[in-house]
Amino acid sequence: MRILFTLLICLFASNVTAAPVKYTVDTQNTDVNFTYTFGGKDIIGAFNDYDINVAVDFQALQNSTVSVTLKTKTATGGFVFGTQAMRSKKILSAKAFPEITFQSKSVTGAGDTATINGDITVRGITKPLTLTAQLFRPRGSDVNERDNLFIKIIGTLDRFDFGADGYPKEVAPDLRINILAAIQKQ
Amino acid sequence: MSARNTPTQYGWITKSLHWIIAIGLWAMFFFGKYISNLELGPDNYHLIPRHKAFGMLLLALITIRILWRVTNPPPAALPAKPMEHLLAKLVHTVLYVLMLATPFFGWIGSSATGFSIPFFGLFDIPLIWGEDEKVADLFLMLHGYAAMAMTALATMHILAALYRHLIIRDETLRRMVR
Ligand code: HEM
Repeated sequence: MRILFTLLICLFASNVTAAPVKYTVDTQNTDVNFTYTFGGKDIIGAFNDYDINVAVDFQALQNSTVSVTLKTKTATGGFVFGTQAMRSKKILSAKAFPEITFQSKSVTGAGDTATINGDITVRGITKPLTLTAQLFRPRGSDVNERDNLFIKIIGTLDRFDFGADGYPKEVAPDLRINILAAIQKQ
Repeated sequence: MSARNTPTQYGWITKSLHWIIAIGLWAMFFFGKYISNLELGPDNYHLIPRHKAFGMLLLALITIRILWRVTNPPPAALPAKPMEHLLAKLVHTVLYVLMLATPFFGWIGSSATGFSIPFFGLFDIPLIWGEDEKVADLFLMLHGYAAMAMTALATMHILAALYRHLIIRDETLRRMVR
């Protein structure tokens, strides 16, 4: 990660703007990773093309939105055959289902952590998913810095819920999503 | 020693191909059994592409061997009962067929999994079938059966050679070695 030390923003300690602030992602400083377990060991995979849109209402968090689109053809699985398996029909079936999408439906917060409930679509199957998000400002930035932030989004999905059921003996059901995105005010 | 076969002797090319492929196929049989029973993980998955690469190397050698055999007939068989000649011919023919079919089925089945087939990190061997789970399962099953049938026939072939060497005491085995 390019920015190792960042400062967590307390979601309620903010008095900057009233309307939701829209952000776009700076792909140079963003990692969209996921962890899966292959033969009992954790492997980190990634998506190399994606779209992340975040709107944060610092006054009324429930008005915030998050949407994520991941291009499955750019998924990697940590090693050559992991990547091939990940994109194959047995897992993401990238040719037939070029995108994974997530759209938030509600955002709630407590302390410095937001809970995002939404719908995720994988292989054309849509299910509810809860993600957890935190916002950070770059170390050294002003306390009121809101133009350039980092958002960390984590969550876990069970691949079997979406028919991504290949290699059931070798690969565990859980895919743990871990996004650390640099976002810029639009 | 001559490179080519003569009417009474095998040349060194035939002998080398025979023994290299014989050892290779036995090794590949046990290697295949071993990998198909593995619990795969990050530390051992590379054995599968290794199996494929050695198998493709053997397929190339087997193809050369068959071409060599067609253009370069073996020495005449040593005297035996007509039934024994017939059986030997049958076993040899089926062995050639299975020697080709076993790796070839592996190649089709492996291609249909969609995984690339790297040749010892040098280049990727072309895939000859599109990604299709059913085809992959079918051909990898046939691959296993062909390998087993080949191993069973190879065992008969060895027993026949030992029979001629130890009981009939003729030159059959010796002329493939010397
Ligand atoms: C040249 C001679 C070869 C022999 C004697 C051989 C033998 C075997 C055997 C005995 C098995 C286990 C079958 C079972 O018990 O289910 C096996 C599995 C396999 N072989 Fe081969 N093989 C050969 C070449 C190849 C080639 C050329 C390929 C692919 C390019 C290949 C790909 C595979 C695959 C993918 C498996 C399944 C492994 C698994 O279960 O995950 N083999 N082989």
